[in-house]
Amino acid sequence: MNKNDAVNGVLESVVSLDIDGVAGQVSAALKAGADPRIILNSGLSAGMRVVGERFQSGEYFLTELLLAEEVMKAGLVPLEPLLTRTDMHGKGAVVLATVKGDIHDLGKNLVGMMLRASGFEVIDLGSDVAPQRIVDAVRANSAKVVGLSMLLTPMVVSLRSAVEEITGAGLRQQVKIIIGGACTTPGLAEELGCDGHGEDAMAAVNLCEKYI
Amino acid sequence: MNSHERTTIALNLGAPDRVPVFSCTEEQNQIYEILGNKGGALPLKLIREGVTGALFKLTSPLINRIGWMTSETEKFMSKKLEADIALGYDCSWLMYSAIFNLKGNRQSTDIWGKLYDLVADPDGNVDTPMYREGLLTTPELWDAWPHPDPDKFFKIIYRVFADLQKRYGDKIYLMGSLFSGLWESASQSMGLTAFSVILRRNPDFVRRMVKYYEEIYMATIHATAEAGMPAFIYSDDMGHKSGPQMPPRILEEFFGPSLRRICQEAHKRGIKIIIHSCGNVNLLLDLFADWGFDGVHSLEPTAGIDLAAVKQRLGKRMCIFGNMDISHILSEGTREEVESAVKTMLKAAALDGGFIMAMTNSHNAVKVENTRWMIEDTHRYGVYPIRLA
Repeated sequence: MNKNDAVNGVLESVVSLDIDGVAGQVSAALKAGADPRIILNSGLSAGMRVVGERFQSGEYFLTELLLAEEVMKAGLVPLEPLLTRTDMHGKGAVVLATVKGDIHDLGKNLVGMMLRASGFEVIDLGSDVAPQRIVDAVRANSAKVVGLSMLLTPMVVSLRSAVEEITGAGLRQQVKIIIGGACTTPGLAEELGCDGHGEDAMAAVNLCEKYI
Repeated sequence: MNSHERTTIALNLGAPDRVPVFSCTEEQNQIYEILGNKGGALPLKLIREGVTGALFKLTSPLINRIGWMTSETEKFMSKKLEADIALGYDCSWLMYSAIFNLKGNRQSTDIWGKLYDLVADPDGNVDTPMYREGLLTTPELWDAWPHPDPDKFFKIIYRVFADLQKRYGDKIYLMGSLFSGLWESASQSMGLTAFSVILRRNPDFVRRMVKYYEEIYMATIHATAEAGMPAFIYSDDMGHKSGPQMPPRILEEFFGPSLRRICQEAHKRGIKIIIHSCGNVNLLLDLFADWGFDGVHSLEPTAGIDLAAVKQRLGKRMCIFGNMDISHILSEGTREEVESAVKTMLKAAALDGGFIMAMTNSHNAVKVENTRWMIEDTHRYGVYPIRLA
């Protein structure tokens, strides 16, 4: 098997959600002489991207997206000792949070999963997060993007506070702010002075790719 | 026409004297506000902080053993119905939710093996616990869990439902229910990620799990019927913001046969059965009807559900419940916005009957005042024949 075919085999394992076969495919690619970084980027991450696109188009569903993450983790087992931190999270840091007063985090977690799979370092602050913690995390990690999530419109107040806190801390030149969640819209992002709105996890990844 | 007649006609896809209004409110802050007893609610800090918090932390196993949470939740179910009657609802979702046990003073577990965080509503009172993760992440852990025995479960549900039906059943049309459905119980007790993996690796185990939950539901349906309740809400959130959580063909393969049997059993016992499912369930609506459900609730506009399209697609097969937005209209909308939303919904789905007005879900941000407006406006504009320009 040549190197390219072997890396394609890794990609196919992820896309076909072959959780028990992916590690073997990665080992085969290594044996064929493929660079570990190529296996990561053109095999595992590229496969996750296809899964994400199929999720976005409605061909794949949430359970398949979550299974794909486990497939990727299984594929990383033989690969991880051969990679540096930069190889895996070299695209930069993204801070994620569900805003103060809101405890829903499914959508945010999906965004985090797809960002990690795409090579970003994700600092997930969880849910019900105070604005100051977001500011601190942006500073501590030199984050380039903040992703804020919320479910209901009463939480717009919290979203606005978070944006104001980031602005007040003098970080707006450094960091882009994107929002998502059940009742968020592109109009709301514009109204609050945010840089973008992600309708789903893949849209959020695309925005981060654009901004970093 | 009374609430029973009105609701029954709508459930049979007809047009009663006016559109019935359905309650799915489960929030302490709203229920005690309606009852004029804000002090009746249980503050979360009592469980989490100070001397009482330390006591709860230390003695939570004992508190569970004496059934304190169960007894408080059952009392709360009465308060919920009193509030629904006071507000003028026609029918009420009566969820049997006395299924939680304290795990220390910050979390709780339920009888299905799910872990929750204890959370507060805006007034600082105990809110519905927030699901955190599944505890039964492997078939071995699931098998080792002390799952309730269906026969014993029947007795518990019957005792509570019979009592509530006797006390409130002549004042409001009661729809029994259980927290939570087959899909939620199976996927959330394992955690959705672990469930997704096990579905791939061990489908026979998933079938065995689903069969057990079916037996629990059969027991609950029997208890509902024996208690004299006329309807049952099968509550199972299968959607998320942009679509179903799992492929419809998998849902049909693994859960469809059980859900068909549950619907058949409900009909055999003479009760209507309605499915509640949050999120974007557009791809599942025909399945809901095929499985045999008599009605469908939630139909969240923020998850892309178009009420008029649902009515057109399913109106001849199912009673349509819900679609009143809680993300804005009922949580911070103006008087005019609520009125406009009610009129829009009535035009979209109520003109020829088979429609029950309802908010999409219970949430602590919903305002009692806005809820009253929703009910008043349905009474005003929902009189048959409906004439809206």
